[in-house]
Amino acid sequence: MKKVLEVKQVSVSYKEGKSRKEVLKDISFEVRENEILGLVGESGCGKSTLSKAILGFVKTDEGEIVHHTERPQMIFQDPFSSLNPSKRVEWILEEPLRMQKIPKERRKQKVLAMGEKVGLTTEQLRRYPRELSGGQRQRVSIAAALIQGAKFIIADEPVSALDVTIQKQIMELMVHLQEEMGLSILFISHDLNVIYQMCDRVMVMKDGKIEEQQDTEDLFAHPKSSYTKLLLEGLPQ
Amino acid sequence: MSLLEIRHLQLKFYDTQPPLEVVKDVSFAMKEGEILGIVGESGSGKTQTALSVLGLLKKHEEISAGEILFEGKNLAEFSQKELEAVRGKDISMIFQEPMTSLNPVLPVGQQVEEGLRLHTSYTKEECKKRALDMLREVELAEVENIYNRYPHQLSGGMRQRIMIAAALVTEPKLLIADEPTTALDVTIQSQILKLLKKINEKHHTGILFISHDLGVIRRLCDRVIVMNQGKIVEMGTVEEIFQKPQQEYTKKLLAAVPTRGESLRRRKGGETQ
Repeated sequence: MKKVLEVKQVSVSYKEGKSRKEVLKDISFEVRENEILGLVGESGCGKSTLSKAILGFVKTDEGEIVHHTERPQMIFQDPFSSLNPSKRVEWILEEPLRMQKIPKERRKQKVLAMGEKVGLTTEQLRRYPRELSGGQRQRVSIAAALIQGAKFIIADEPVSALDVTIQKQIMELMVHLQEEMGLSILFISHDLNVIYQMCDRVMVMKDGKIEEQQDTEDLFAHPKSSYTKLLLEGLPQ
Repeated sequence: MSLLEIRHLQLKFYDTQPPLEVVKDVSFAMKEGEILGIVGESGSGKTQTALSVLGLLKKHEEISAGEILFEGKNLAEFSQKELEAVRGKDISMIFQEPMTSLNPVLPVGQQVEEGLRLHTSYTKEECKKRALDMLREVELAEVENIYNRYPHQLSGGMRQRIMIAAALVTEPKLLIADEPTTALDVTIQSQILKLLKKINEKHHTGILFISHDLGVIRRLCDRVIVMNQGKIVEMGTVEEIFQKPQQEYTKKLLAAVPTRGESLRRRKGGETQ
């Protein structure tokens, strides 16, 4: 099976006073083509540092990160902070295409087509980010991540700030886009049930280490680590 | 007599023209010692309904009609001064983010005692003794040490325990909890829910629990009110609402909650591909 990313025995530490604090400890995993891999863990477990390391924003002490496709695009929990507030949505989506010197007509076409894919109307594309609801803004950030043809996406808590009914729509959209476009997604969430609905495989992280990784059904049916069991306890079935 | 009874509550925001009606004719009652949940999405009016009980509305928000009866007395007609005598004594409140509601420059022990200093004639020593007991009650360890710490020196879960201790120190009959576990990690969330349940059982404290999270509501509450766009959609016991929802909106809300019932993915057979 083809891989889009391999992370091999990666460790990352930060300077803390005179000593160093290890935030990622000997992390190894792969993201395969055409899969949604879930990453679950609580605050401070290192999941955000891990995505930064994959993007090359933090230096690794040890290990190797091998990309088999172009660098992944990110989708965040709060799209508002990553969207330029002074520009209309269509301008924001066109921006990377402008950098690539794609002609105006072609840019407009691409933006309209992408808008349609993520469920944004022509009228919504003309609005400013603040004039959109949380769910619509998340659609914009998904479109922004995909408009340059990225095949690998890292989604960091993309549905955590949304109301449940909207949350479901965005989850369905992401699953649909994955299937239609053959995407690979590293899906980060603290919510195991969201992970269950979305992901083919799951990694559980705690204190900078991967506690376990399994196919989704196996992880939920037979969690190996006591920490995973603790996370599963009390979740609605 | 009900512990709390809300009759035809109507609440408006006056900072828009025309004023925005955020709570529309809401009526419900809760018994002593009951845990009543209000669940809804953003803009449902759940938080405003809860805040209005304590008169904690902002300047431009106003109760335009209705009664809020606490042990038979209409709080909607109370002056701010009269409300202050009730607030933090008979009715207390805890919020989502304790960091913003706790005073950052005051040791937490003193903040736990505040209700006693305001509402009782306890001596300094009695206040401290009671505060330490309360810190033990919310299951904090090394309470003498914690007593002198500042909020930023504690974890999110510990801060929420401090908030609960401060809210319960005067043995209120009603605790209003607005999304108190939303900002917490799931394992900590679980502990806080168990703590609230324990306190409810031990002291018979009524809890009005506001949340967007149906899973949390289901675990904690006896009865549930579902709100949408300022109105009560449906009201019932946890079993009724979760197992036999009557209204379309409730059904839609329940169906949207991610569960392990069915996956959105047609999963491939493990390693076979």
